[in-house]
Amino acid sequence: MSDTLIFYLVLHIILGSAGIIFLTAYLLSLSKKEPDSKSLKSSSFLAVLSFIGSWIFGGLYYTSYYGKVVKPIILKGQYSWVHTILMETKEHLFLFLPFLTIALFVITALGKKGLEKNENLKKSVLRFAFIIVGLGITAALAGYMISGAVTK
Amino acid sequence: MDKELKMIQGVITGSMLVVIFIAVVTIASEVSPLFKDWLKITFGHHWVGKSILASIVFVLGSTISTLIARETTIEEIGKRINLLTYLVVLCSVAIGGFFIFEASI
Repeated sequence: MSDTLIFYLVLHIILGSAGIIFLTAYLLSLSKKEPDSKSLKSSSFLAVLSFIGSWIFGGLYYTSYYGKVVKPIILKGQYSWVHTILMETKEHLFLFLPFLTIALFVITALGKKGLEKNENLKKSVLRFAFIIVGLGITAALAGYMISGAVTK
Repeated sequence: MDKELKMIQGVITGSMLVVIFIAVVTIASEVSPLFKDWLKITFGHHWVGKSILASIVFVLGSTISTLIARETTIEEIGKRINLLTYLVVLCSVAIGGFFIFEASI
């Protein structure tokens, strides 16, 4: 694998992890009795940038290297289900993340008065953000298993 | 505030459309090799095709939904966010379940 492809893969992992961290910070901040709207806005915005970056660099690695080199190795090994189930699911569920995070940012930026005053809206946004974090963690865990299946 | 709520409503609708679109296109491209080949030929890779088409659905869906949105309330926005959350769970399960089913046959 070339240095450029390693760079793409590392950026995909780092930015994806950063997106999860920013969203976790968002969840913790929104859970407070009096959430700081600036902190919510910045953490959701940084999560948007992180997931878009991870999407682009992951896509560059996936389309130029994974399918041609990594996928055949996994399919020939004893853990072929790691590709047929985990990778196939991960690559498509990942597509949800940038759009849902943009939606979360728009809700946070434009609906800050509602988030401060309306407890039901706050609970709805908390559940929504929690599901996005869950999707991100699922994609990350699948990524670790896919990497592990290549060497075995 | 009304304009802001309409924009939030529009983006939530755009998100709902894109989540459904990704689930449908993912399953359709596995069921129909012709459709997957069309994505590959048109966009260079089926996943790139899904990414570009999903972006178009999200932008157009959010914009049109914002433009045609009726007056709404904070309570209504909360209900729509709940609906979007359920839809994300449902479509995630559909995608994961489909690949488990496909691998088992």
